[in-house]
Amino acid sequence: MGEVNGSQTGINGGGSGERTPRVLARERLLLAVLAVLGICGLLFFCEYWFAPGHRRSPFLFALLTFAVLWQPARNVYNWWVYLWAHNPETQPRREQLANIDVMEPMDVITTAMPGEPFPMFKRTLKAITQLKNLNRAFLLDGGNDDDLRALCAELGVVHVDCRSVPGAKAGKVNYCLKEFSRSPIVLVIDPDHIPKPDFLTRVAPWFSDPKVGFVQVVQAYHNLDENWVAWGAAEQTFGFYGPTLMGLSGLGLATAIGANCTFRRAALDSVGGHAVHLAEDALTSIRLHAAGWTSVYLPWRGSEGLVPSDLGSFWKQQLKWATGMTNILFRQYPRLFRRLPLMARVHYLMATTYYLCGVAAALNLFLPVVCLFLHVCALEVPLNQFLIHFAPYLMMSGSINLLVQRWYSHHDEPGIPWRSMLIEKATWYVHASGFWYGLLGLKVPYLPTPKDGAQQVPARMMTPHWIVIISSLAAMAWVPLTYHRVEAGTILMMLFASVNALMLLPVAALGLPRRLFARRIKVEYST
Amino acid sequence: MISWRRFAPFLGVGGLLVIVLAYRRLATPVVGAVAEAWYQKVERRFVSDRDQLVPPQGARWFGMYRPELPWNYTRFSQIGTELGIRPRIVSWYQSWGVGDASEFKDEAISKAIAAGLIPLVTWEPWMSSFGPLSVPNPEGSVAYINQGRFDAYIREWARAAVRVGGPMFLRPFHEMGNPWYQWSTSYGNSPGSLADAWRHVVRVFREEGAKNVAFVWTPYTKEDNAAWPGDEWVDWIGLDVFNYGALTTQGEWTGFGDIMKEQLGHLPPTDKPIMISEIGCSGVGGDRTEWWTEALRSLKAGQQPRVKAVVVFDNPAHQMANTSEPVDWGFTHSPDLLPLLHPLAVQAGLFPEGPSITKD
Repeated sequence: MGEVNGSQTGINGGGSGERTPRVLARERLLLAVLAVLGICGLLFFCEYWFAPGHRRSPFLFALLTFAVLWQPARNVYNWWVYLWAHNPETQPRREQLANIDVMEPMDVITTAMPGEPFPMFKRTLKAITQLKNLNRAFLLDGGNDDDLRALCAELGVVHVDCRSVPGAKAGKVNYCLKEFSRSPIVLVIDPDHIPKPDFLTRVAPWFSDPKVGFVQVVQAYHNLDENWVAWGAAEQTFGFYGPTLMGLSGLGLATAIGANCTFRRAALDSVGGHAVHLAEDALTSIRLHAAGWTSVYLPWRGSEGLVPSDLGSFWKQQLKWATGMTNILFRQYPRLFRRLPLMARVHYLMATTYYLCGVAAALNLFLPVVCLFLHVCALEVPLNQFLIHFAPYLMMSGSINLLVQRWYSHHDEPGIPWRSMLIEKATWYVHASGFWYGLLGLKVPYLPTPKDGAQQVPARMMTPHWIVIISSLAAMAWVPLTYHRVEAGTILMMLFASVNALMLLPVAALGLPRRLFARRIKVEYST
Repeated sequence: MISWRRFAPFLGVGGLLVIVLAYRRLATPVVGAVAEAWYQKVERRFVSDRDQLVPPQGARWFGMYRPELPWNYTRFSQIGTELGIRPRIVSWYQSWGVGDASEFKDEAISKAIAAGLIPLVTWEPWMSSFGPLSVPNPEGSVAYINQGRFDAYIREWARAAVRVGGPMFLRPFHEMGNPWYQWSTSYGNSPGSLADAWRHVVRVFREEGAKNVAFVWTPYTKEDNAAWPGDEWVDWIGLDVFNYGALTTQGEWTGFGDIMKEQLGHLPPTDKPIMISEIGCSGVGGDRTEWWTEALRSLKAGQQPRVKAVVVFDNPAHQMANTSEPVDWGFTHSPDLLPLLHPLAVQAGLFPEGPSITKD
């Protein structure tokens, strides 16, 4: 019967490399010191950047300033969140658990959409039925698939025909909560996520605090070996499912992630159930926090799912999130603002403006090209001076990154995240267009994140990258051809342009015929 | 336990504010202390020694002032080629003050040194363009230097010279007897205070470790000997040798030899090497080719052994200081002159020294 094959041997597969991060007092102190030094480094850079003698075109200077300082400014906020890192060692005491109902059996809800691979359900549902402290498991089937129905019957999972239920995943979950599930605590898990047997008993104690509305655990992946895109996509999440969520948890603001979050159903009921939205999990979190609930993040790898292993599905997922988050910023956040606790106001402003990074990145890519071609200059600083003044911040930022990697939940995760840097850079136009869609309130069709990894990258998705690469190179070639005198500002712009072209190249090359580059290992499921 | 979480935003904003304020308060001293330590422990150690500034036995360095130096070396190189002598000293003039024109030209100096040249900066202590530090009345202005009013500026130059590191000439207070200049005795500066000011400037350079800077002391009249700062404060003696010809009212055509005889006759008692730091002939009232020929002849081997460098004042469009009349000090006024002078220049020991920026 269904042994898992080809994945448990993977890097994040077994329990061997896992660890429960502990936040040591000296690490927190070092973090504080580095953060203070990092802020000083940034001030040092700003003093230089804004020195009156340097700017040339005020308009371009303003744009370039936004592009250059956006990420550092956000980093300062991130460091501050890290400082609040919640130490998972401080478990609720056993005696607190004695007189509460949290150890009552819990329900587990997962969803199915037509087209998702059958072996995946077989494996996930089997793991769900083996959970300790399980009351009932539900499969909310959007296609009412015969095979799935048979599988559910065999495993004792409640199969719910959800063909007529609107509102994508959230609508189905709400429908199930309303009609079928009666447990006080419910785990909503994606079908690619294989929960560990003690998932429910590990998260349960946190619900002993009656104010806790939901408990989030690590979203780990078992297909990181597939290719470097998968690793890069996952790498982006290592920091989030580590220091960031630990810090937010310390602030009582851990965010729910749709893939594997355990909710108190009273909390969900108080906000009218799961939010039906592109960024449903984020909106649900905001609503719960606005309703006065707090949340906990447990840096424990309770389940392992699939990370997008090709750029097409990764970008689709990012577009969905970018649009959803920006939509929240302009349409939901103002409404909820008054009811949110003070810190939540700050945090959700930061979280929902995250995808402005796409705009900053687009400016970063195109400003050098524009400046070089039009012989205009945003600011006149020598390259070596720019680097000298940026270096202190960069060193502190890098050190903090290395330090908080100690709080990752797996031994293989720490390291220099070059893959995610490349992929992040190459997601610029996806983030930018997501921000644009969200700003204008345009609809992006809800597409479940593809889980089978079978999609190829459409070549046209690479077109924006090639445009940037070619125009950057052309702009650099333009300089020796048309400039009488190369000023310091021009050299700086040439540095920007060449770094941009260089960083986009690896990802853009993935759009070339596939066989030239990637070795592809398919995740296999035995039957 | 208190739940700090409730105050989180205030702690964040407050913390940031504290850091910003502390930064504004501490950054300058801290960065300053680091830079100071770096200067004292590292930069000072990479300074060459001004003792290298001696031409080989029997040879003399040839140098040039032109208005476009040190930014444009085209004519500088051409003249060297036409004369058949590679110029070694590049000379220009800067006045004290605030602003770009009065800053140590570190880039130009580094490049000149890298090209095998020796910069000679005539550093004129005008004290009227120092912003709030400007001296309102030029009378006795040299005393302000002794009071330390311009120490920051002098120190800046000293440190810049240390950072450049290579050997160079600095010629402050030149022609201290020339009534045109505000540091002269005509402006009520006593010879004693001039000597004090000289020692003050040199002391600052020595304190900062600028041992690569050779100071050139240039008198104007024999009365200037009273302002002699002493052997240990001077590295070279400068002589400014001009034949005004008929330009001045009492003037008459004077040969190089006569001017030199007059000037050498009243030098302070010292054996410091001598540099003809400016030399020019006006061309009014005599034959310039002849004058230059005589000048170089009287420098031929064995003659004037103390003169170790000759820097021509090649400015065809100069003005008389007192009358603002145009005066042509051009060394290159006639195309025939330079080839004619070549053998004499060779005899005078004006040999090429070290690498040159020119291509022959």
